Amino acid sequence: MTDYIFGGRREGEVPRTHEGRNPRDVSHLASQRLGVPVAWWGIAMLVASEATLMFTFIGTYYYLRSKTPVWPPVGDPEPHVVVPLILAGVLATTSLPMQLASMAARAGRLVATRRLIVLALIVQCGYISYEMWDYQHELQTTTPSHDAYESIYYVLLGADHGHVWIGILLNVWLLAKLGRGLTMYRLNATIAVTWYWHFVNLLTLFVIGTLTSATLL
Amino acid sequence: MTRLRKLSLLQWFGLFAAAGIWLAQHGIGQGMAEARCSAAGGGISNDAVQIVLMIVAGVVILAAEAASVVVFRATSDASYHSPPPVGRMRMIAIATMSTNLIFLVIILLDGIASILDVACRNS
Repeated sequence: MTDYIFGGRREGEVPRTHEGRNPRDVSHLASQRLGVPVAWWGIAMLVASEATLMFTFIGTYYYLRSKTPVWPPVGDPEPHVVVPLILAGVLATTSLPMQLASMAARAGRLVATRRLIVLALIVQCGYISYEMWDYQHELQTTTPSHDAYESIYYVLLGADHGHVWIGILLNVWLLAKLGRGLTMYRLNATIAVTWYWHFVNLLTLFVIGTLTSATLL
Repeated sequence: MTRLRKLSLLQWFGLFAAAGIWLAQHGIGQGMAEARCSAAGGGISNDAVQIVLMIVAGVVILAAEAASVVVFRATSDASYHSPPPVGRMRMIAIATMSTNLIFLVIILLDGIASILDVACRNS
């Protein structure tokens, strides 16, 4: 059954993940691929499960809101709008250097790949630094146990920050790996991490948009 | 239809069926519970609806699990390093054999909690 694969080619004619251990070979082999690597499917499944989790939180937020006449409830501070939306937009722009890094890795341009990931990482670290400060500052005025609004607010925001942290750790790990050269495995990892960041950036826009809607709408 | 295409369809069914049927069970179940608790909903038996939803969802998930096992066994001479589509099918079959069981537990918990709990009261 595995003799002929998609496209009518024999299995031995298709590049394997363990082949290609330098940028030139990786670039050549990547151009011969018939489809996305298995790593892409793996990250797609991860993104689907994380999206399910986060959208149940968002669904919970709107369910609570639909049952509460005044939102946020009286006594709870209204969320800030301008700074969070601007920062979410800044974070979303890191999808561009990450996508360019993925394309550079496919082309075998290792130095460009590293530089673009570093650029994205600087912006991502700046974002999470401010958000961590803001999160702990808000905890000094209200707590998650205060009421359902504060509970879902902190859960939703904290979960989003957690995903940003995971993305940052993935970028640091990826840079460490790419520091030792480019292989097909590391190309697959770059592609997978890039897609993870596209998801996190889109998720952050949804989360911040949901939370700021309490002030705007 | 080639054997490879049939296996590919089984693999996609094994991946999406569980999540889709849980979405349907949860959505329909919540909607029926809300209808039961409305002023005109006295004729709806919430327990009966939840039981039917749970059974249908459970059957679909067991079918999805069977599909995943079939794909896993059919690709036994490959690994997830193999070229597409066989490598992809095997990897997803391995993952869905576990996740379908998790979804089965979710569906049972969802249904049992809906049946044991009192539908129409303030939270």
